[in-house]
Amino acid sequence: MILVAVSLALAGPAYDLLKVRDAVGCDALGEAVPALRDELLSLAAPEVLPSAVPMRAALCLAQRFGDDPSVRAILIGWTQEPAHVGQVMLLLANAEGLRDPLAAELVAAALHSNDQRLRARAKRVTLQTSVPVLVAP
Amino acid sequence: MATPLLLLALGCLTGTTEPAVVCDGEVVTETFSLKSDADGVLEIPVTVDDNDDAFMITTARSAGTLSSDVILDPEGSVRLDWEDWLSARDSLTNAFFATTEVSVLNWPVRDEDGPLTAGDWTVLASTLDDEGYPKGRVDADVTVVTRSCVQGRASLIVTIAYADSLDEDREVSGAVEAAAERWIEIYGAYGIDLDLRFVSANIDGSVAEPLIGDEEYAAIYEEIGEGVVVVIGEDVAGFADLYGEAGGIPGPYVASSHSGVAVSWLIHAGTDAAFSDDEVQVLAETMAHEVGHYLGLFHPVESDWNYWDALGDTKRCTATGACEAALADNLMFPYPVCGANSCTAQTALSDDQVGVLQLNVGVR
Repeated sequence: MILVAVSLALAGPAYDLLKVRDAVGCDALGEAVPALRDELLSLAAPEVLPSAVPMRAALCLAQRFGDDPSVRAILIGWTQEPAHVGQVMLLLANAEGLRDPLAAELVAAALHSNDQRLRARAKRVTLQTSVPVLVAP
Repeated sequence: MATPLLLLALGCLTGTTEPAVVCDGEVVTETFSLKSDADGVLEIPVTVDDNDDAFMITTARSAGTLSSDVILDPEGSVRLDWEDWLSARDSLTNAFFATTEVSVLNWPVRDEDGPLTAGDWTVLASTLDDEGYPKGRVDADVTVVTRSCVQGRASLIVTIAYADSLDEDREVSGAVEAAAERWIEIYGAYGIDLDLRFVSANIDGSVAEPLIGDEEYAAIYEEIGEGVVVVIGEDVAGFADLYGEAGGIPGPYVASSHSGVAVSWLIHAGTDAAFSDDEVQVLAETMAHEVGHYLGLFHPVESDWNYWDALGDTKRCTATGACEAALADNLMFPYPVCGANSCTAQTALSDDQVGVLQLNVGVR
């Protein structure tokens, strides 16, 4: 099933735009690709090559669809999945540019990740940026 | 290139005393200040000796932009004129484009542009205002590097600088070292031996774009002082979507805000932030690719399929399928070409591309 999804994604216009060394920005991607959300979700899979494609897809998902509760749940869930640690690191590096509540929820989840690198980066975000810190109930 | 021994023998036969040509790759660097004339023109003198086969002019000012426009040989003949390339879809050098406060021109660019003849050459550059019009009476710092011919294998000094203590992260430094070994093989196959050094740079892990320019690169280069500097960061300029970026095509060998190549480790390590063997290979290719830009190479074709390099032996294709079929294995192809399970190794260079690398004064 994953292979089918990847194969379909590879044939899509978003893949062609994300694979180049100097990728187009997320805004330009939105203008060029009609079903962008679904295509990005497919392209964010760890199996997709080259590695830059799922990374860029993750960032674009967060920037354009961070308001979508289902997308937000997927992104937050990645903080507990070793296969997605790199994508969360990328999102944390761009946390200030993400919309609320995604940024704050992502940082809060990353602070409780099993991955030490994610915890360290999340802590750095809380110390060095204006992303609000969610206090646990 | 004739050997010194052969020239000596010819000298005996003809009874002349031709100076022996010594191809030792030595460089002579001269730095001076100039002021542009009322029309914004800088007239830069370049003295080429018998042994010299390439020179590089780096022109810099504190603010505003510069372009390198015309090259005149000792006979006064025009060897390069920016107007010939103004509307071309082929890219020869970025020295024509006044986008930054530094302009770098290496000559000859291609084998077909040479060889140099000994004598007094002149390079005409322009100082420009914010709107791209000539601005007169502007001070500029000029560095002229002339290189003696190189015989046999050549060498390139590369310093890999880890940002933000990344050298202490074994996941990253192990992958970079493994990638560097592969990069040595890639360039070595084309007669260029890499002289690699590793240092730690006290800068943030989100490294600046060298093409845009940042004083971090000037400071790092000031310390290192030679060759090409490759800065390994977590991401480039916070965009977090760039594999890497070179400070220019070609890049400078003097300290400036463009004196470096930036490479993101995270974008290569991918979704799990851990390097697979294939990801190390792409990292190696990115370092070789970006330094290829720094040495003067363009993409053989840009990914809009409408612009090409100015080389005769890189195929001129006009569509995705044709370009991937012809050039997917080329080191300078604009993106890695991958299937569901693996990516095509991109290590090939054409003879003309190798010629560009070997004519860069940093290769010696």
